[in-house]
Amino acid sequence: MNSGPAESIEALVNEAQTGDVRAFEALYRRTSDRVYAVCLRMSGDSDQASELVQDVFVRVWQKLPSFRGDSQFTTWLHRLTVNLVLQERRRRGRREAREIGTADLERFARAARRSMPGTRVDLERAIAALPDKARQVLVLRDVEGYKYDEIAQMTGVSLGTVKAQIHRARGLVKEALA
Amino acid sequence: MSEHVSIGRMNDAVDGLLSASEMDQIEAHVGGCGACRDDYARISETVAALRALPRSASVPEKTWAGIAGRLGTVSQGSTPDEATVIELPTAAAPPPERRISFTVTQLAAAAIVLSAISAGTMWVALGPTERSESTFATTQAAPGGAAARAVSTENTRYVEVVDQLEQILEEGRGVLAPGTLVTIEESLATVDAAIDEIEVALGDDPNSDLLLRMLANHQRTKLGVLQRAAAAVQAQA
Repeated sequence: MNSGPAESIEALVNEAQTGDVRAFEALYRRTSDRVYAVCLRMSGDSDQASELVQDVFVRVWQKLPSFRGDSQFTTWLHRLTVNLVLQERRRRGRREAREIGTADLERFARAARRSMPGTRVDLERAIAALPDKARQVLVLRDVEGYKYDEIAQMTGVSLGTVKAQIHRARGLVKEALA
Repeated sequence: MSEHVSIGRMNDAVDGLLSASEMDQIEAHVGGCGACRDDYARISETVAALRALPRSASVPEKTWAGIAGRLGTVSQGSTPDEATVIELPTAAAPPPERRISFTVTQLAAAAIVLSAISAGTMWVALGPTERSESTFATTQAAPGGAAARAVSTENTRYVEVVDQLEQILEEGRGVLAPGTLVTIEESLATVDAAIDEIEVALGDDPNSDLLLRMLANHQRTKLGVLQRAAAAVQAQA
């Protein structure tokens, strides 16, 4: 790494691809807040989000040599992050409890309704109070801007189910903010 | 359009998934229907608020230290699967250093799980006609509330066993051939997706015997895949 803080992400990627850890750390400093936000919202837990960020960047380090720049690094990083979070959910899935269908979301509404209306903090709380699967698809759709069919492909769930989950999750968030 | 607009249609409208004529119909109705107008406005506002959320959050400072510590244990250019793959020993070369190891306790636990499944001493949330004679008889004969507890216990046991088998698989990834691992993971993803779909359907129709049978069949399939995977890991470890 041989230049200052203004060095471009592309340049940092090139240097990190050669095994330059300092360049990789600089790359991390430039991009980790965005990765953390995705992990935090999709997991709903700050400790788990921090672990996920570690997993993401270790994975990035391993895969960097295969990154050819066909897409922007930040796009590649974002997709890698989402895939890793979803993989982690699958891995943990059955450990915590049986997963919840759209009809079961109602029992989570009470917790979401406890938040006071009107602020962004309340919106974040309402999102965090959703069950895992509903929270993840809602974040992917309404915060991260993925299309329904992309979410269905990423999560391995049918398009109809994804839409139903997102619509129901929106309803619960809406109620929480009312 | 005289009928109320469904919540699903309102969401489709907010998502921009409807044609211009469909949007005209909805807007015409919403313009004259206070209930639909309120619902539509609230959905629109909620989605707008979600879309306006900031895309970054301050990552805890300690996080980089954790990453830096792990970078020394992995090499660049290795995929995650390759990172844990060990070379098989050959007659001409000394055995390579294993990158994974199992404790005696882990192996004992794995053996117990596999033994329990093989002996059929645990089972899952089967519908009544699928349930084994002994389990069903016990469940039927139980006094009020005991049947539900029995099913709940079976579910809990199912979750525990799946968790243990998944852990065995996770820790033993390195000893399986990459192609085998991919096949196992694809199979599990397919079964998980099917289970998810059935559970969603059960949310609407929780007493459907057909859905309960389908769920039990898929849970059985998942256990079978995990059982074979765990056995393969044990055989290689």
